[in-house]
Amino acid sequence: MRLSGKRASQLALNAFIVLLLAMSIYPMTILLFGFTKDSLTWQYNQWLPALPMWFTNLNYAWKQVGTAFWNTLFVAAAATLGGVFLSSLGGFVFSRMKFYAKEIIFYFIIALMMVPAILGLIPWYLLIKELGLLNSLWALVFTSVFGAPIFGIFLLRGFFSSIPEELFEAAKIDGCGNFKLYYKIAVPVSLSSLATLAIMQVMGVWNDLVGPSIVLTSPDKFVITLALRNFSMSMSGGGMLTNYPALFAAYVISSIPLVLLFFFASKYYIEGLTSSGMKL
Amino acid sequence: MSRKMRESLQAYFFLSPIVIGLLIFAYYPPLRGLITAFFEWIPAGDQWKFVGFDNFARMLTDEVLIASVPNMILLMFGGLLIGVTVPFIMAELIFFVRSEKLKYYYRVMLLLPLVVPGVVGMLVWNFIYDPNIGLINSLLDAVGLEQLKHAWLSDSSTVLFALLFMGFPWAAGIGPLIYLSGLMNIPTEVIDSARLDGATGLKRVLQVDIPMVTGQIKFFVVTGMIGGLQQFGQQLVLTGGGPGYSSMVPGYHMYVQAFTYNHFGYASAIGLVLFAVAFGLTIVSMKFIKSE
Repeated sequence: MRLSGKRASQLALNAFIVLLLAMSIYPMTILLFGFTKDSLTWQYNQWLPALPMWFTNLNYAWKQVGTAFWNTLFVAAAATLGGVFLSSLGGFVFSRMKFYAKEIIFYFIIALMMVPAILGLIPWYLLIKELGLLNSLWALVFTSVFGAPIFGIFLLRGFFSSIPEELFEAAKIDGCGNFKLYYKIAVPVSLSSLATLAIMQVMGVWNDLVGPSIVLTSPDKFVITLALRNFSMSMSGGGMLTNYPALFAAYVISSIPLVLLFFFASKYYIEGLTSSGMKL
Repeated sequence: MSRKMRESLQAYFFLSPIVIGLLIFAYYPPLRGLITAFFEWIPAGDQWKFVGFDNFARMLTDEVLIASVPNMILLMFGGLLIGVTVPFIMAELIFFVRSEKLKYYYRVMLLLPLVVPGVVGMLVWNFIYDPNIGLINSLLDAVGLEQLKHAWLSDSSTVLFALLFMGFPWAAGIGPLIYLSGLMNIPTEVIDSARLDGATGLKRVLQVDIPMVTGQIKFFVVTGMIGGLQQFGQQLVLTGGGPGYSSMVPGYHMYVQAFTYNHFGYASAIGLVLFAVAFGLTIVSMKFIKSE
């Protein structure tokens, strides 16, 4: 009796968790059900899957957000490569090298974590204007690349310090210099932490709306968040006639890179989040 | 040249791109913000005029700004309450699952909402709130409660709660994962000895688990307050601060003042005050919530 009571409570617990997860995820499944519907099917069935599936919505949506998709991919790739490189090099320097004013420089960098972004938003716009980068994707790339090391160095210094010294000793005896120690030893053994940071960079770019809305002005330079907002705004006001399936197709397109990213890297991301100890 | 000196030069060389980049893109903007708050920009000739404390005095008589403060407080504390407690409950639920395999699957499922860009998450909720064909009004129709139907986001009496309710039941995302990492770090001996003392179930949650995750709680409180003070994504995508000014928040007011009206100095002053409040709240909560 006791055992089956325990089993029943575990069953109820799991059912409750699945219900909560399902409710949290349902809004996304509306997108998946919806983006293949033609307008007639949509009128009668908004909430459940339907056949046949029409993929013409994707063509139409791609015309609206295709350019922005490639723009965002470019910014994300450049911001991730640059940001992860600078963060890991910085993390290596702080964990493995001895030098003067080390603590001061370290605090100079991580103190920025304490500065709420809102104070710098308007001067950031003025800076971008003065650098001649208005309406340029490079404005976003530079900001993101140099924003990465603030948390990245903090994260990776901790990780690199935990690598056993023997690994480096052997290479030092072979005559490896510091930069070689960095890319031959520190980087290969910390791929999961680097992946965590890379995911954060890509997500940061993919979700950034405020920055792009300030510095990007022409639609051919828009990133995905701006293009989605515009597409949705141009559609709204249609009331019953709003072509939601086409909007949903655009939403689905915009999610594909993140889906792929999580498909390949969610394991590292969970590990990284778990080990980095997000707490104060 | 000593060895340390040589290594120092090399370290500085490696760090120089980071330090230079941070000076330009991370240090310069907030420092300049401290200064521009005391100036106003004159479009004619692109000039800056020193105005002393005028920008701050102006805030005291800015009715939109004053009206936006209670909205922000409601959204911030509502968001904090949700953001601190719900992920913890979800993490505990998963922590109580016996099967390690299921536990792992749940943790992966928690990440699923992250594969959709945040803007899309908001826009889907915009559709859920659609007055004509949205999910909520359709459900109310289906159960015969038509009189409760609202144009949720364009009705000044419901808009703030609609913004808070977005994402219900808030069970997924990285919040529960962060709590779970804290719970899974509790040594098994601690849990075992608690069980011997008769602390199981809810009693263990209160007496053992919560004290062990105060570091995480502090993290959510601090980031939630800072985020709550400066966020205006929902206003930017969904409401524009409306209808009227019923969902206006100071951060969005700052944005509009700067980029619609070119009042860069005044907007900087609003930013400076928000920064000061955020900084103060951070210090206070760091001090008052004890963690190991």
